[in-house]
Amino acid sequence: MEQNLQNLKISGAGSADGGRYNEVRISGAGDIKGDVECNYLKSSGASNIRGNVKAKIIEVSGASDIKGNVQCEEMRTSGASDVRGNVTTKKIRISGASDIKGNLYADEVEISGASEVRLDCEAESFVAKGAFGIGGLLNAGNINIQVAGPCKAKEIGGEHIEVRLGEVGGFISKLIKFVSSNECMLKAEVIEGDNIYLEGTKAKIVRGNNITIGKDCEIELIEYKGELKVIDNGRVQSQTKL
Amino acid sequence: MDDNLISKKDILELTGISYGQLYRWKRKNLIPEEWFIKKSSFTGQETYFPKDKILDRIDKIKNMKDDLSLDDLAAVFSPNLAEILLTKQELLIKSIVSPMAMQIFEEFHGETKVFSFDKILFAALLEKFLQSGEVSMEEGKNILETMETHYKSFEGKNGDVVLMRKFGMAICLLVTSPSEIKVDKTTKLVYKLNLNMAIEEIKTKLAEPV
Repeated sequence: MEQNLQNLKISGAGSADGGRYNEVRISGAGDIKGDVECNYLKSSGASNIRGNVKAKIIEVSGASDIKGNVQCEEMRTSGASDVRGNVTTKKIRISGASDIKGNLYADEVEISGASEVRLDCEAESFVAKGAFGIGGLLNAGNINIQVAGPCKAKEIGGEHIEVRLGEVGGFISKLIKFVSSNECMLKAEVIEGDNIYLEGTKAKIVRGNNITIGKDCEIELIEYKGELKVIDNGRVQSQTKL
Repeated sequence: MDDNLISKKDILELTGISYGQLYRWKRKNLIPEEWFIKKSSFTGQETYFPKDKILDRIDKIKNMKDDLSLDDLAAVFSPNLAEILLTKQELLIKSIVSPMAMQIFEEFHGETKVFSFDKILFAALLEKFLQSGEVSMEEGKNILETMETHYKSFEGKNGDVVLMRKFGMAICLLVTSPSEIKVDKTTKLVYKLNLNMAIEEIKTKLAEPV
């Protein structure tokens, strides 16, 4: 990267144009009026970036918004921060109630809290603890979900899919579980993979090679090639071996 | 596009690949998103693929995956422009462009000795439009002009080149794909070509030994 990039720091209600910077730090109600390209971006408070962001490392918190697409190597979001477009990154850790209105493309995804990806999520590794929502397809090589709140994805596909009932820790989790024990589940229409282990899952169709349906599962139809195990109180309406 | 679809289940059965592999290849862009066609069936929504295309693609992937990484494979199939330069002679020899289409191309562009991938694509599209028998030489130039002006803004995205005609006047469109175009009753949808398919065809022809 170029040597002579400046740092940008905005706090309070300041604003700046987009551009290429070294480090960008925005807080308060700071506003950047265009695309940003930088090494490091830290955005907090109620700040707004009205454009696309390209950076190495991004840390977003509070209620900060990025109105465009994000391209980076590492991203950490927390609080109620949103990205309006797509996020393309190597590693992303999302916590709190961050939303990505577009697609999420990553190598490693770690979600905790109640985040949402409106469209598709593609990753090599997807680890979620708590609650999450994916509007479209969750397509990941290794999927590891600990259900401790409402989890949903329209479709799930991958190689190794493991969903387990998580520890109901924290006040919010306990409250959700108290209010409606139905909510502490993973809901999906279709789950397809090579090796699948499910707990706390409600799905219409599950397809794969080796499948284990465990505690608190309700599956309408299973199509499997290798082995199917139904254990604990797992319920399967109909199954077919292909 | 409705004819000759194969279900996801059947394709896995036929080719012996697993769900995991199919999803991985989709992630790596080895199988285009557009080929995943959702249709309602009696079990709910099922996914179908264009049969010939998917069989061919899976076959290619299986053959090449031991020699190339998945990312390299994606480059083979990807629609992003390669760093290719060909001479006019090579294009003619490889039958990517016929002498007639080449003449029209040069009438429009001026003499061209070396073709970058963009120009190869434009000439190849012109060739196919002319070969269809539905398009005149003037309209061919119109198509070239449209590509010249607008193709850059499509880079990476798939699109269709569409020729329509109304009362003898031709209109050329470059539309993102997949999309459906409906026209009024006095307009005729003359011919349509898909960019990604054309690019793949060119890459295949270039890969063939002469």
